Amino acid sequence: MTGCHPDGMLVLRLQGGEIEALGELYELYKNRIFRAALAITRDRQGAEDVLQEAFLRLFTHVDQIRTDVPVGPWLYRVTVNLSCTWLQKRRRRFPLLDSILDQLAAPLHLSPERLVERGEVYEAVQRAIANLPLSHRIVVVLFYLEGLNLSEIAEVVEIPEGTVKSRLYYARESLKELMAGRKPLSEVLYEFT
Amino acid sequence: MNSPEQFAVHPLDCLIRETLQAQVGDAEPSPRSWRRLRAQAAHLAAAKRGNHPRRWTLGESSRVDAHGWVAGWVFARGLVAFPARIG
Repeated sequence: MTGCHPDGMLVLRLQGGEIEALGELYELYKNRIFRAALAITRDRQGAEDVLQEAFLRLFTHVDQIRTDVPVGPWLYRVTVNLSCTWLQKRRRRFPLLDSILDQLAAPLHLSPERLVERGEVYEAVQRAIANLPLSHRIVVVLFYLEGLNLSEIAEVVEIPEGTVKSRLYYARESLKELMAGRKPLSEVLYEFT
Repeated sequence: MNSPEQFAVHPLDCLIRETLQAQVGDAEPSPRSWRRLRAQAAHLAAAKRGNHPRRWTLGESSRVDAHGWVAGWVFARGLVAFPARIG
Protein backbone atom coordinates (compact mmCIF):
# COMPACT_ATOMS: atom_id res chain seq x y z
CA MET A 1 0.00 0.00 0.00
CA THR A 2 1.41 3.40 -0.98
CA GLY A 3 2.05 5.96 1.75
CA CYS A 4 1.74 3.34 4.45
CA HIS A 5 4.45 3.22 7.10
CA PRO A 6 5.75 -0.30 8.00
CA ASP A 7 4.12 0.20 11.42
CA GLY A 8 0.95 1.10 9.53
CA MET A 9 0.87 -2.34 7.91
CA LEU A 10 0.84 -3.88 11.38
CA VAL A 11 -1.84 -1.42 12.49
CA LEU A 12 -3.98 -2.42 9.49
CA ARG A 13 -3.60 -6.10 10.41
CA LEU A 14 -4.50 -5.28 13.99
CA GLN A 15 -7.57 -3.38 12.78
CA GLY A 16 -8.51 -6.59 10.99
CA GLY A 17 -8.45 -8.40 14.34
CA GLU A 18 -5.03 -10.12 14.13
CA ILE A 19 -3.64 -10.24 17.66
CA GLU A 20 -0.31 -11.48 16.24
CA ALA A 21 0.17 -7.98 14.78
CA LEU A 22 -0.05 -6.61 18.32
CA GLY A 23 2.71 -9.05 19.25
CA GLU A 24 4.91 -7.74 16.42
CA LEU A 25 4.35 -4.12 17.47
CA TYR A 26 5.04 -5.13 21.07
CA GLU A 27 8.35 -6.74 20.06
CA LEU A 28 9.33 -3.61 18.13
CA TYR A 29 8.61 -1.10 20.89
CA LYS A 30 8.51 -2.96 24.21
CA ASN A 31 12.06 -2.15 25.35
CA ARG A 32 11.94 1.55 24.43
CA ILE A 33 8.55 2.03 26.04
CA PHE A 34 9.49 0.01 29.12
CA ARG A 35 12.75 1.94 29.65
CA ALA A 36 11.04 5.31 29.21
CA ALA A 37 8.38 4.30 31.74
CA LEU A 38 11.07 2.98 34.09
CA ALA A 39 13.08 6.21 33.87
CA ILE A 40 9.97 8.29 34.68
CA THR A 41 8.36 6.09 37.35
CA ARG A 42 11.63 4.63 38.72
CA ASP A 43 9.66 1.52 39.62
CA ARG A 44 9.92 -1.77 37.76
CA GLN A 45 6.41 -2.97 38.54
CA GLY A 46 5.04 0.46 37.68
CA ALA A 47 6.85 0.39 34.34
CA GLU A 48 5.43 -3.09 33.61
CA ASP A 49 1.91 -1.84 34.35
CA VAL A 50 2.40 1.23 32.15
CA LEU A 51 3.75 -0.90 29.29
CA GLN A 52 0.81 -3.28 29.56
CA GLU A 53 -1.77 -0.50 29.64
CA ALA A 54 -0.14 1.40 26.75
CA PHE A 55 -0.40 -1.63 24.45
CA LEU A 56 -3.93 -2.39 25.60
CA ARG A 57 -4.87 1.18 24.65
CA LEU A 58 -3.19 0.67 21.29
CA PHE A 59 -5.38 -2.39 20.84
CA THR A 60 -8.62 -0.74 21.91
CA HIS A 61 -8.01 2.52 19.98
CA VAL A 62 -6.46 0.93 16.91
CA ASP A 63 -9.21 2.30 14.64
CA GLN A 64 -8.11 5.88 15.42
CA ILE A 65 -4.40 5.30 14.71
CA ARG A 66 -2.88 6.67 11.52
CA THR A 67 -1.18 4.18 9.24
CA ASP A 68 1.04 6.67 7.36
CA VAL A 69 3.24 7.55 10.36
CA PRO A 70 5.18 5.46 12.90
CA VAL A 71 3.31 4.30 16.00
CA GLY A 72 6.23 5.32 18.25
CA PRO A 73 5.19 8.93 19.03
CA TRP A 74 1.63 7.81 19.84
CA LEU A 75 2.96 5.13 22.16
CA TYR A 76 5.35 7.57 23.84
CA ARG A 77 2.49 10.03 24.42
CA VAL A 78 0.33 7.34 26.05
CA THR A 79 3.33 6.11 28.07
CA VAL A 80 4.13 9.58 29.39
CA ASN A 81 0.49 10.19 30.37
CA LEU A 82 0.16 6.78 32.02
CA SER A 83 3.46 7.24 33.88
CA CYS A 84 2.26 10.61 35.21
CA THR A 85 -1.03 9.07 36.33
CA TRP A 86 0.84 6.21 37.99
CA LEU A 87 3.11 8.66 39.88
CA GLN A 88 0.16 10.80 40.98
CA LYS A 89 -1.67 7.74 42.32
CA ARG A 90 1.40 6.58 44.20
CA ARG A 91 1.95 10.05 45.66
CA ARG A 92 -1.63 10.11 46.90
CA ARG A 93 -1.28 6.67 48.48
CA PHE A 94 2.27 6.82 49.80
CA PRO A 95 3.34 10.48 50.11
CA LEU A 96 6.04 9.78 52.70
CA LEU A 97 7.51 6.79 50.91
CA ASP A 98 7.68 8.75 47.69
CA SER A 99 9.58 11.63 49.25
CA ILE A 100 12.05 9.20 50.83
CA LEU A 101 12.61 7.50 47.49
CA ASP A 102 13.15 10.85 45.83
CA GLN A 103 15.77 11.72 48.40
CA LEU A 104 17.54 8.42 48.01
CA ALA A 105 17.20 8.28 44.22
CA ALA A 106 19.13 5.07 44.25
CA PRO A 107 20.60 3.77 41.01
CA LEU A 108 18.39 1.07 39.54
CA HIS A 109 20.87 -0.76 37.40
CA LEU A 110 24.59 -0.38 37.96
CA SER A 111 27.28 -3.03 37.87
CA PRO A 112 29.77 -3.06 40.80
CA GLU A 113 32.68 -1.83 38.62
CA ARG A 114 30.70 1.14 37.40
CA LEU A 115 29.55 1.93 40.92
CA VAL A 116 33.17 2.17 41.99
CA GLU A 117 34.26 4.20 38.97
CA ARG A 118 31.50 6.71 38.53
CA GLY A 119 28.93 5.77 41.11
CA GLU A 120 29.16 9.00 43.04
CA VAL A 121 28.74 11.20 39.99
CA TYR A 122 25.89 9.09 38.62
CA GLU A 123 24.18 9.12 41.98
CA ALA A 124 24.42 12.89 42.20
CA VAL A 125 23.07 13.36 38.68
CA GLN A 126 20.30 10.83 39.30
CA ARG A 127 19.30 12.68 42.44
CA ALA A 128 19.24 15.93 40.51
CA ILE A 129 17.10 14.39 37.76
CA ALA A 130 14.75 12.86 40.34
CA ASN A 131 14.35 16.26 41.98
CA LEU A 132 13.37 17.99 38.74
CA PRO A 133 9.67 18.81 38.34
CA LEU A 134 7.90 15.89 36.63
CA SER A 135 7.22 17.88 33.44
CA HIS A 136 10.96 18.62 33.12
CA ARG A 137 12.01 15.08 33.98
CA ILE A 138 9.82 13.73 31.17
CA VAL A 139 11.45 16.05 28.63
CA VAL A 140 14.93 15.08 29.87
CA VAL A 141 14.13 11.36 29.59
CA LEU A 142 12.72 11.70 26.09
CA PHE A 143 15.64 13.85 24.89
CA TYR A 144 18.59 12.12 26.49
CA LEU A 145 17.44 8.53 26.92
CA GLU A 146 15.09 8.05 24.00
CA GLY A 147 16.97 10.37 21.64
CA LEU A 148 13.86 12.20 20.40
CA ASN A 149 14.43 15.62 18.86
CA LEU A 150 12.71 18.81 19.98
CA SER A 151 9.82 18.64 17.53
CA GLU A 152 9.17 14.97 18.34
CA ILE A 153 9.11 15.74 22.08
CA ALA A 154 6.78 18.68 21.43
CA GLU A 155 4.43 16.30 19.57
CA VAL A 156 4.58 13.63 22.26
CA VAL A 157 4.08 15.95 25.25
CA GLU A 158 1.76 18.29 23.31
CA ILE A 159 3.61 21.50 24.17
CA PRO A 160 5.30 24.09 21.93
CA GLU A 161 8.89 23.44 20.84
CA GLY A 162 10.00 26.56 22.70
CA THR A 163 8.71 25.10 25.96
CA VAL A 164 10.65 21.88 25.33
CA LYS A 165 13.80 23.98 24.82
CA SER A 166 13.27 25.98 27.97
CA ARG A 167 12.58 22.87 30.06
CA LEU A 168 15.79 21.27 28.82
CA TYR A 169 17.68 24.46 29.54
CA TYR A 170 16.22 24.62 33.05
CA ALA A 171 17.12 20.97 33.67
CA ARG A 172 20.71 21.53 32.55
CA GLU A 173 21.03 24.60 34.75
CA SER A 174 19.66 22.68 37.76
CA LEU A 175 22.18 19.94 37.15
CA LYS A 176 25.00 22.46 36.81
CA GLU A 177 24.01 24.06 40.11
CA LEU A 178 23.84 20.73 41.86
CA MET A 179 27.18 19.59 40.54
CA ALA A 180 28.72 22.95 41.36
CA GLY A 181 27.50 22.58 44.95
CA ARG A 182 29.12 19.19 45.14
CA LYS A 183 32.46 20.07 43.61
CA PRO A 184 33.61 22.41 40.82
CA LEU A 185 31.64 21.57 37.69
CA SER A 186 34.64 21.90 35.43
CA GLU A 187 36.42 19.33 37.55
CA VAL A 188 33.50 16.88 37.38
CA LEU A 189 33.08 17.33 33.67
CA TYR A 190 36.82 17.07 33.09
CA GLU A 191 36.88 13.79 35.05
CA PHE A 192 33.99 12.54 33.01
CA THR A 193 35.47 13.21 29.58
CA MET B 1 20.92 30.96 22.89
CA ASN B 2 19.65 28.46 25.45
CA SER B 3 19.26 25.89 22.75
CA PRO B 4 20.04 22.35 23.91
CA GLU B 5 21.26 21.54 20.41
CA GLN B 6 24.08 24.01 20.95
CA PHE B 7 25.36 21.75 23.71
CA ALA B 8 25.01 18.53 21.79
CA VAL B 9 28.63 17.52 22.44
CA HIS B 10 28.93 19.19 25.83
CA PRO B 11 30.23 16.81 28.52
CA LEU B 12 27.20 17.59 30.68
CA ASP B 13 24.96 16.15 27.95
CA CYS B 14 27.09 13.01 27.89
CA LEU B 15 26.88 12.84 31.67
CA ILE B 16 23.07 13.09 31.71
CA ARG B 17 22.70 10.59 28.87
CA GLU B 18 25.09 8.10 30.44
CA THR B 19 23.48 8.47 33.87
CA LEU B 20 20.01 7.74 32.50
CA GLN B 21 21.32 4.77 30.55
CA ALA B 22 23.03 3.47 33.69
CA GLN B 23 19.78 3.96 35.59
CA VAL B 24 17.64 1.83 33.31
CA GLY B 25 20.52 -0.18 31.83
CA ASP B 26 19.38 -2.92 29.50
CA ALA B 27 16.20 -3.47 31.53
CA GLU B 28 13.52 -5.45 29.72
CA PRO B 29 9.94 -6.28 30.64
CA SER B 30 9.35 -9.79 31.95
CA PRO B 31 8.17 -12.42 29.42
CA ARG B 32 5.01 -12.79 31.56
CA SER B 33 4.08 -9.27 30.52
CA TRP B 34 3.35 -10.28 26.91
CA ARG B 35 1.38 -13.36 27.95
CA ARG B 36 -0.79 -11.23 30.23
CA LEU B 37 -1.27 -8.62 27.51
CA ARG B 38 -2.17 -11.26 24.92
CA ALA B 39 -4.74 -12.83 27.24
CA GLN B 40 -6.34 -9.46 27.94
CA ALA B 41 -6.36 -8.52 24.24
CA ALA B 42 -7.97 -11.86 23.34
CA HIS B 43 -10.61 -11.29 26.02
CA LEU B 44 -11.34 -7.79 24.69
CA ALA B 45 -11.47 -9.07 21.11
CA ALA B 46 -13.97 -11.76 22.14
CA ALA B 47 -16.10 -9.16 23.91
CA LYS B 48 -15.97 -6.94 20.79
CA ARG B 49 -17.19 -9.79 18.60
CA GLY B 50 -20.02 -10.41 21.02
CA ASN B 51 -18.62 -13.75 22.20
CA HIS B 52 -18.06 -12.59 25.69
CA PRO B 53 -17.35 -15.71 27.71
CA ARG B 54 -19.56 -14.57 30.58
CA ARG B 55 -22.53 -13.69 28.39
CA TRP B 56 -25.23 -16.38 28.11
CA THR B 57 -26.71 -17.36 24.82
CA LEU B 58 -30.46 -17.14 24.51
CA GLY B 59 -30.91 -20.93 24.89
CA GLU B 60 -28.73 -21.09 27.97
CA SER B 61 -30.57 -18.26 29.61
CA SER B 62 -34.00 -19.85 28.97
CA ARG B 63 -32.77 -23.18 30.34
CA VAL B 64 -31.54 -21.44 33.48
CA ASP B 65 -34.87 -19.61 33.72
CA ALA B 66 -36.76 -22.91 33.36
CA HIS B 67 -34.65 -24.52 36.09
CA GLY B 68 -35.33 -21.47 38.27
CA TRP B 69 -39.08 -21.79 37.82
CA VAL B 70 -39.05 -25.51 38.66
CA ALA B 71 -36.90 -24.92 41.77
CA GLY B 72 -39.17 -22.07 42.85
CA TRP B 73 -42.27 -24.19 42.42
CA VAL B 74 -40.80 -27.08 44.48
CA PHE B 75 -39.75 -24.65 47.23
CA ALA B 76 -43.20 -22.99 47.35
CA ARG B 77 -44.88 -26.40 47.40
CA GLY B 78 -42.68 -27.39 50.35
CA LEU B 79 -43.60 -24.21 52.21
CA VAL B 80 -47.28 -25.00 51.83
CA ALA B 81 -46.96 -28.71 52.63
CA PHE B 82 -44.76 -28.40 55.76
CA PRO B 83 -47.26 -26.56 58.09
CA ALA B 84 -50.04 -28.84 56.85
CA ARG B 85 -48.00 -31.93 57.82
CA ILE B 86 -47.06 -30.76 61.33
CA GLY B 87 -50.48 -29.27 61.99
